[in-house]
Amino acid sequence: MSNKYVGKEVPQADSWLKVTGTLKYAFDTFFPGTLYAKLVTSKYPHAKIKNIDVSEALKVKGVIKVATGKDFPYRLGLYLSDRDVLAVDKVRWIGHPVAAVIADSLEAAEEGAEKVKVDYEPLEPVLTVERALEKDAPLIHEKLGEYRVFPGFHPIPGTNIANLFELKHGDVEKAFQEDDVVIIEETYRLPQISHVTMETQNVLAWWRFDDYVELWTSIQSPFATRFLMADAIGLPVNRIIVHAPPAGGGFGLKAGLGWEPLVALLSKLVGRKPVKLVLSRAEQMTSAPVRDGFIAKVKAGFKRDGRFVAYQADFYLDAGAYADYTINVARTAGYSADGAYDVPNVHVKSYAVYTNKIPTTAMRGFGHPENHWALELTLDRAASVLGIDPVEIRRRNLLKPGESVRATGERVREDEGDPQKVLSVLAQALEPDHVDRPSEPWKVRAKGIALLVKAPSQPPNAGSSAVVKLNEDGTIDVLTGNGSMGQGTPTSLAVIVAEEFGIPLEKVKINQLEMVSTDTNPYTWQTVGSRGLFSDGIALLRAIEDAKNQIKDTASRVFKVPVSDVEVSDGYAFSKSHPWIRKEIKEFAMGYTYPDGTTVGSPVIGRGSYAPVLNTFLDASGHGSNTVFHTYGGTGVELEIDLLTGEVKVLRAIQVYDIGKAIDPLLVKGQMDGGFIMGLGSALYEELKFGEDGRVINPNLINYYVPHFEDMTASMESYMIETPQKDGPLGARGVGEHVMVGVAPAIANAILRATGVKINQLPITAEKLWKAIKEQKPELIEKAQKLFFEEGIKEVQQV
Amino acid sequence: MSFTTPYFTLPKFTYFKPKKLEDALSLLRQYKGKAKVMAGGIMLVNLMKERQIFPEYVIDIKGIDELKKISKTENGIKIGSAVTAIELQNSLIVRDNLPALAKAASYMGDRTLQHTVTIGGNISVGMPSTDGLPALMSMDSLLRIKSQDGERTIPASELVIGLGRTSLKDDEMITEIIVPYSSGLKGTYLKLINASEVAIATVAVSALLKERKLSVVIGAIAPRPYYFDHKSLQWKWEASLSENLKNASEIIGSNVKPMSDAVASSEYRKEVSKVLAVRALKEVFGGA
Amino acid sequence: MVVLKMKTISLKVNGITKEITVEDNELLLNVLREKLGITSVKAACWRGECGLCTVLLDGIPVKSCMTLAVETDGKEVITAEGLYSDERAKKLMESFVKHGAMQCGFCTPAFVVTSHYVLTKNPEVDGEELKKELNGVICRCGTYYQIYEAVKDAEKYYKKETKS
Repeated sequence: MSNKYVGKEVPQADSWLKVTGTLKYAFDTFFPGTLYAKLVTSKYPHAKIKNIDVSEALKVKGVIKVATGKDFPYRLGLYLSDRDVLAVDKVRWIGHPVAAVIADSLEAAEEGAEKVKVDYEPLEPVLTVERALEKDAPLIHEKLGEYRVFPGFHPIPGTNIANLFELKHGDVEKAFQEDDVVIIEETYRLPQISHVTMETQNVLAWWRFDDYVELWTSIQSPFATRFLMADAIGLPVNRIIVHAPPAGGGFGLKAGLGWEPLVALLSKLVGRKPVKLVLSRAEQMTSAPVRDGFIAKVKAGFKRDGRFVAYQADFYLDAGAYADYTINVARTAGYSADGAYDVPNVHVKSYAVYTNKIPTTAMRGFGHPENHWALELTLDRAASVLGIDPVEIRRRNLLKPGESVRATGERVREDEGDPQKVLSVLAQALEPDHVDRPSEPWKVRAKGIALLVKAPSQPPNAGSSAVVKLNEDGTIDVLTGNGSMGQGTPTSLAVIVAEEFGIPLEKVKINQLEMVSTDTNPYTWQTVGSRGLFSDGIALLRAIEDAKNQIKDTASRVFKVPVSDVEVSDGYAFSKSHPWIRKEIKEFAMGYTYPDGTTVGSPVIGRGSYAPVLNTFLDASGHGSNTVFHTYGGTGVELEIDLLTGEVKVLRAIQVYDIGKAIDPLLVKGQMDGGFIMGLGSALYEELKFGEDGRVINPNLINYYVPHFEDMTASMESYMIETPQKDGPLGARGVGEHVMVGVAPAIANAILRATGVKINQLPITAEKLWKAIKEQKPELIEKAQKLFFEEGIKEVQQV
Repeated sequence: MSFTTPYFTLPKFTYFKPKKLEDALSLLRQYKGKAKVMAGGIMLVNLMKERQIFPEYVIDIKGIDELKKISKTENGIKIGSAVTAIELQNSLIVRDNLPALAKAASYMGDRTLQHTVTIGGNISVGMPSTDGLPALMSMDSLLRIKSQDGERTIPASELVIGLGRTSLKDDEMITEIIVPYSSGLKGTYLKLINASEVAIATVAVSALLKERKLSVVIGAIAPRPYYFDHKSLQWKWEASLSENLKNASEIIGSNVKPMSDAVASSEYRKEVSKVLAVRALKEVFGGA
Repeated sequence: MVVLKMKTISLKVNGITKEITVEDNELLLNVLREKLGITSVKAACWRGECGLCTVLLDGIPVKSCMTLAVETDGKEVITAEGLYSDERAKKLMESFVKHGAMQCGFCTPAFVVTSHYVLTKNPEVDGEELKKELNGVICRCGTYYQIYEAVKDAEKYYKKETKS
């Protein structure tokens, strides 16, 4: 049977609202009479709050109230409740919100915020992971032992270690001792980076007079937000109504719990009037969480033939002042440290460490940009030392579906994808051994690759549900709980419904494109980890089946045939044995009504739900079964390096992913191309820079550069491999997060291969690369200079 | 410099949009010290959003026609200070005769902002990374500065007196830029940025060649641009270009003392200065 | 001491002329969004860096977060929803839709407005020049490839219009 919609290029269903700018985001939500909130933030990285004087602020015309931490004695968090609503007793980073001013105009709120006076008693700040781990380091969270911790996590009270995860598989020490083992040892680092969602975090909250709390907020996961907030401030879950309009970018920033408790409590404090908080870009990059900083100390053993036999890695994630979500990033980086490879001996320790810097949270890739930066660079280092081709060393070590066992003890499923095919498609497209001449004699051309594998990191019970409602005219309304942030999942879900019922796509309305509300939409755990299409997709297929069964039941009575003889497709219910007995599904939408008014059946509403089967928490050795699907992928780049200046220009990009089934290739390609751009930013440009006192010194989009239009590569190729996932919706797997993971390592590997220069830390700015070449291969620069300053001139004179 | 903007609104001020230059100068005198001139307004609006400055009066000069003119005579080219970066790039007078300035204008913020940014505003900011000044200095440009008391004319090289500081008095404004050449210039403007075009320059180089006059200006590496001419570069017109370039790059390398900051180190800036200077010189001689 | 004077400006917005009372320090961005309810004009940096607040002011793209409302007295503002009634712009939008030139959509109106300006000015814009023209708007989802294709594909509608 040929598909009508699945596999076809279908634009996002809300495209026309987007091109006209009329899609309403939380940022655009406003009611007459709404009050404005403004944050007052800490000027010290670590200090006791001695006194807060709000008297001058309250004199500003229009200021209504000023709230401080003491007003809201609640602890917030998803995996670890280490966050306060506003700073209580002490501040933990420069930018830590200390107070909030509420006023009847933005101007008054801003003026009031300037006039709040806070007296501090400075404490010794802890600004590096190294210092944080010293025995005599000041404690950033003295009460770490009292925080609520999610199962499977292990904070170490009395230290600055928010979590330690350990993974043991085989015996690395023994393997390193073996005769013909070549050892690679490196320390790799990644800086903190910002998600830079174009829509900054913003919340409109109204604590209603009936003690229900309504929120309009720019988030990914309305149900997680609702539960975590209810849990933190002691309200029944359904007293909180979270409305999640489409988000102007999520990328992990807007998962879990954000500013909702603060703004809701502010609303209550000012006599239950609606209050809105919008973060400016500077506030977003100083007071709200970013991606962790990362250090990996790695020791890897390879046999002479390239077999990867032992991997020992210590990961340190600089979590900043709050590690709430980052403890799971650290755990995930840890348990998936062996990537796409079959390594018999693995020992990983992954620490999430507090420092007095901007807090951190989930970001696209969730631990995988981190651990693959270490792993994929190490593979190319080994390839170079052993004299083996980078493609070949990977080919020899890739996991074998149906055979291999991961370091967690989880068997690699037969149907989980084809890593060898990913590698060969990538190699064929890139032709890594064929390198063109550079455009100038003082430049070099280079090609590099990186592979990756990733599964959603989620609790064992991360469930999804879906509802399908058949309307009077045969149109269908679909409800799931998945947030919409441009990832395309809602459109793909609509495509599945159209395909399964055989009705035109235009007849399917997917309500989450405009709003997901916790009081109308069915539950899904979170919109994270590339789990949406998979988990919600399975729930949706079950809801479709349920709705079809209801139609079949009524139809069998109307057709006077057994239920087993009724089929629903092409918009009809029909008898399989007597296909001419058929009626449009709309005839059954509200039950079937005979001409005399007699009605059989009732309104059709299908429900379906899904939860992972037999997943567990990981045990003390990091063993267990905690994934539902893996997606393999690879990135290849061709680039040119100017040896005189260190500038890198990526000319060509290749993305390859085994996504099981491309339900909507237009949107999948959008993810692959866009993820490459985001990966490119993290590889070449992006880094939050810190002053000596730990403050972020580049919280804007000039000094923190994200890729612009002119950064697009001249060539961008995306390949979709479709090895079906048996339990995936129509065979599909997720891919939204994977697409940025391989970019930075592919670039670093290209540089290594072409110049022999090792870069262990991102971003690869022109100056950093120039300095690295100068230190490691000065002869390359000397030769380039000779060509440029002398021989290059001859060409000019010939003009 | 904090470079943050936690504020969405501007502090309060009174706005004027005079149509005549004398009215603008009169307002500047009347509110001396409390007023700011606004042309493109990019830096002004950002500094106000950052609450770094609180002008009580803002005098918008975009309505003054005489500040928006570009004219050419035998003695040179005159450019009004409120001419925008886009107008510079689109002006045939500038494109044909002052290629370095046209190219520098293409780097003044992103393309959208270039509709707003003005040449006078760009150089009045006084920051090292401004693009207009190296180009104007390489062409020995003069700046006409007016106040209600009268006017003075200074070489562009004397505008900036320190990091972000200019020699403009509170009641003065640049009204016109005078380039003392009207044709026959070979010139270019090159810029290395730590990322892409909208980011801050690591090094910017402008070069000019007119007959036997040569100048190279290096901006963005120190509070004030470095100026070299054929004399300080010990240029030998009879010698080969190759020999001259090698020599010039060494002289530049040993004479610039670049700053180190969050954008780049001194060492790197020095190296890139040499590379860009040679690139620029190759370009002006290559096209000769 | 600053004496505040409210001023009444006359501003034509998407074809309709409005008399609006503003203070001197009000930004066009805030007036459009909050006083006129035109929320297609987004903001993401409030410093002139991201371009999401771009509108056409007398036909020229400007960043409304850097523009004083009083400066716009007597001028005309056109935003993305206003462009829908322009036949060529509507085709441009259609091209964005067809090419999947958006993900989260938050920057899309700014790209529509800016690329409409570019094509109006030059329907045969060179590829590198097009990238430069659009470099003032940031898309964090990274849809630059798709936007490029969409704009290139829409050139034909602007060419036709020019000739007839």
